[in-house]
Amino acid sequence: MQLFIQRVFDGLQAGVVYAILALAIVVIFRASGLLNFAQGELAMFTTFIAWTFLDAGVPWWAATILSAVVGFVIGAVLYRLLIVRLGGPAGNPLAIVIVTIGLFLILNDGAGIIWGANPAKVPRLFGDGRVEILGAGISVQVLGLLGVLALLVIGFGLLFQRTKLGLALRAVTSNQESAGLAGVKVMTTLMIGWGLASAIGALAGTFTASQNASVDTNMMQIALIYAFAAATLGGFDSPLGAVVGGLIIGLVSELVVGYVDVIGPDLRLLPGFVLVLVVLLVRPQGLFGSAQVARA
Amino acid sequence: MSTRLRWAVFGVVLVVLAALPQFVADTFVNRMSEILWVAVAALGLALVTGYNGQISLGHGAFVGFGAYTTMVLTVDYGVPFAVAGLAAVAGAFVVGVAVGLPALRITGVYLALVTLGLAVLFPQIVVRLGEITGGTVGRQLLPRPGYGDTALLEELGQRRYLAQAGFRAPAWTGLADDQWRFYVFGVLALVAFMLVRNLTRSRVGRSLVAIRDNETAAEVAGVRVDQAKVITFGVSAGIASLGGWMFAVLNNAVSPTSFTITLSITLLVAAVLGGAASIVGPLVGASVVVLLREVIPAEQQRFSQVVFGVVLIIVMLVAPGGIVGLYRRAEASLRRRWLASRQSGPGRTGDAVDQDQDLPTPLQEA
Repeated sequence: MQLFIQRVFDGLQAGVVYAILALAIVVIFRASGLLNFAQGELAMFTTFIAWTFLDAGVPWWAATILSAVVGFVIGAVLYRLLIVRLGGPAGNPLAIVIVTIGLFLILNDGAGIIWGANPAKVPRLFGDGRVEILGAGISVQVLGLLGVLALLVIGFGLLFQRTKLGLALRAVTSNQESAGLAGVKVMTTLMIGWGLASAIGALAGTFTASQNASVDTNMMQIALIYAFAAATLGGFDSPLGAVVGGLIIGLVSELVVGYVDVIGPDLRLLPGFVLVLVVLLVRPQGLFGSAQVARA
Repeated sequence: MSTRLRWAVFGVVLVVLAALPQFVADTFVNRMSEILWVAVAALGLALVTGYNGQISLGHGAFVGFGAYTTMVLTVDYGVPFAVAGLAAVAGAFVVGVAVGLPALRITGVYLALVTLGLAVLFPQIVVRLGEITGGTVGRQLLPRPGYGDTALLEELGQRRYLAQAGFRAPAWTGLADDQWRFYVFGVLALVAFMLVRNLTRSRVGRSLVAIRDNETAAEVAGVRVDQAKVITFGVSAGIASLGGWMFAVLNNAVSPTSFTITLSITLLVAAVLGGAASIVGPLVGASVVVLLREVIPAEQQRFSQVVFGVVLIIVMLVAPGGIVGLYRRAEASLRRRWLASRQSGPGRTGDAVDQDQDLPTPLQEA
């Protein structure tokens, strides 16, 4: 029982990061109908920026917030300078996917060139403290991250459903042309959407670094795959789905790896992969997503 | 270029390439062989991307599948290389269909997601199946203990000769191994390229383009969309796996680090850079990618990813049709000028209509 509780919390700890990164993917998808394959590497890059602040004497929590601000700017600029040129949401998704893969390569290699290939040390965001829950020692870090995640979900839920900006974001996704005619500033709205997603991604990056107690250039690649799995499971247009999906993927991976010997730590990725295939076969819109109705 | 001129150029290039290995060093021949396997693997990807409008980030895994299948079958089970190649291609076709089935039923970029997972998962599976695949170390021409014709050689006290000889030139050819390998690769590449060329011009190919350009309209017109997409993905996986067979034959060794996501992305760079919706595109792209890596000095090698990334973005921004697309555009504008300068004589017929040019490039349409 104690081991089980431990594993559940380990799973949740991993799941929090997948959930946050999936949230970033969903925000971009909702705002612009696109998938950003460089989302994970952007997060890694901004985490190195956070580390640079930390190195300059800024406290870690402040560095985290600063890196989210920097992430917002990078995301908005990338949208304005690159994605727009390919036609934005109305453009060719194939070309945009390829461009984000190009960004993936540049950011990954670029971070290595700027900050070196060796991992840099970072502290834990919520300290090293532990509390005892049902006989298992749970780190305060996990509880803190779950709290932040809950705040993010509520925040983004309110943003999308209750604010003018959220309405604009939804309008632009649903029909860019009509939104523009109705007075929505399409370009600005989409820039904000990409900025927000990169800012959330930056949080996912610093949280991952906090858990590993270090930051390195390859830390977000596996996380990105889990995040895609989480978004697929939860539904690409649902922020709540992304978060629930992330936590489920984290839990399932941890428990399967822990209890099924055949899979073991080597095949950590397999449960998530199989889950995605099953979801695509059985319920392509995901748990919380709305089914797409395509019109030619 | 008129069709006749095109074939003439093709013939000359073929003759030059066939003669070249007689005059250059073996390292050069091996480099050309490397271009050929990358080209064949990129061709498999181009079939999916250029003609089907889908992105696969997992073709590196199919290359790895082919390479490992070849290595294990030939070394541990003494299977001839040709048979191992057939098994590799057939096996990859099945895996491709199995992976493509859930992802391709849905429009959108789900194939990219699923194949990204596959690319990252593949090295993990290899490590997990360490007893067969040699784990993180990989496999060379030595059989696993207990496999191969051990007993006979033990009896002769020649255990160290248990090593597989690799892919050797038969004595009757009088060729060195590297030359023989290059010729075999050349023939295989030719077959693969012809296959894709004919496939894309057949009923299947036309329906693929129809699906790519307007899936609903294609379905209404009677194209069996799901079936065409899934089978194409299977064929493309099989072709990539043939590239893997060539990898194993060329390098005589396989290890999980050769088949990571980096390989998948390199193949995408090759296909997109050359021009994914053309037949020679992948060959052009593969040549550039292999030579680019060659030109970058070893100590600067870590910059190669940045270079590839920048190349991908620039190609998408300025020349979505890749190098071949650029060439076609230049040719078309030259021809227009030439025709204009001839003061539009009596209407010419014939070679102005080019088979390739009526296929739009998927990446060109905004």
